[in-house]
Amino acid sequence: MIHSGINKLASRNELSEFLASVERRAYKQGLFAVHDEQVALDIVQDAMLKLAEKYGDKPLAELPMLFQRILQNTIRDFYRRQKVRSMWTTLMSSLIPQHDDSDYDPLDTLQDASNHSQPPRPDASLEQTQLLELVETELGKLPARQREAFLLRYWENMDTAETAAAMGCSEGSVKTHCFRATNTLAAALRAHGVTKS
Amino acid sequence: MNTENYINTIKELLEKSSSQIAPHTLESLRSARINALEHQRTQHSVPVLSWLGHQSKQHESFRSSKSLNWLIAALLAACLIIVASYWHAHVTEHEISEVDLAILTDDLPIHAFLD
Repeated sequence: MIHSGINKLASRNELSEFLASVERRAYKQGLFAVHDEQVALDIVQDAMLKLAEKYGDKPLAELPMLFQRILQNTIRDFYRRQKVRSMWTTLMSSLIPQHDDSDYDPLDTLQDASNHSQPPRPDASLEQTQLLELVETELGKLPARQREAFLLRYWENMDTAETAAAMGCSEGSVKTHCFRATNTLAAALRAHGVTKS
Repeated sequence: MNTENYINTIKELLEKSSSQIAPHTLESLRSARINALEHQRTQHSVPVLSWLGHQSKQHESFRSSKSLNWLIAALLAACLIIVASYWHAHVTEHEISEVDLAILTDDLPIHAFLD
């Protein structure tokens, strides 16, 4: 959420409170973008560190915008690195002969159903859980810019100008991205019978 | 159901989703936050002429120290220009006197005629 505030510099406590207030949504944004919990955590950690190191002395009111800008840039950096890595992997795998299965251990990926250290599933209704999964899946499938615009505009409650500034694009582009994202998500919900008024 | 309602439904679901993050993930986020806070920047940016920093502390405001820095930078630039112009004039004068001397002694080198 946008902090409307006085134009004073952020103290350690205020920065801590700000980070605590955005960390969950930031993690979810990262997760929708990269589909990997560990990478999403790394992205949030990087974004928090960059914000504190470079802009830790900025006024509290500027932090939400700065953090979102850093977060989106960090996600984009991940995409770029992934692109370069996949290019090299493709290149190397075409040069190196395929290895045998000797280093594959099925125990590495075996799921342990009796392991109760995992958090229990929420006791929400099945319908809501399914809807949640549906929305998360559809958000994950959206083009990156549409997802970014939708989440900043509607989940982070930024206005169009703020979203445009955080994304580094025009307000018109934000409106277009939001419109398309909303249509896609609404169509997915309609397809699953969500039509309550 | 209009678009606004769909957006609100999605927002509610996303809020629900963010409240159901696993405890070990929340712990990682907390550690990340604490790590970031340990690196919080607390000082203003260092002035360009930071080697004169102790002088800026004597001034009451950042604005006045900034003005002082600009003044010192301008003085340095002016000094450099004066030294450079003096050096240039000195070298030119020295070259002219050499040529004059060569003309008087009929010892003018051949390249002087070629110029």
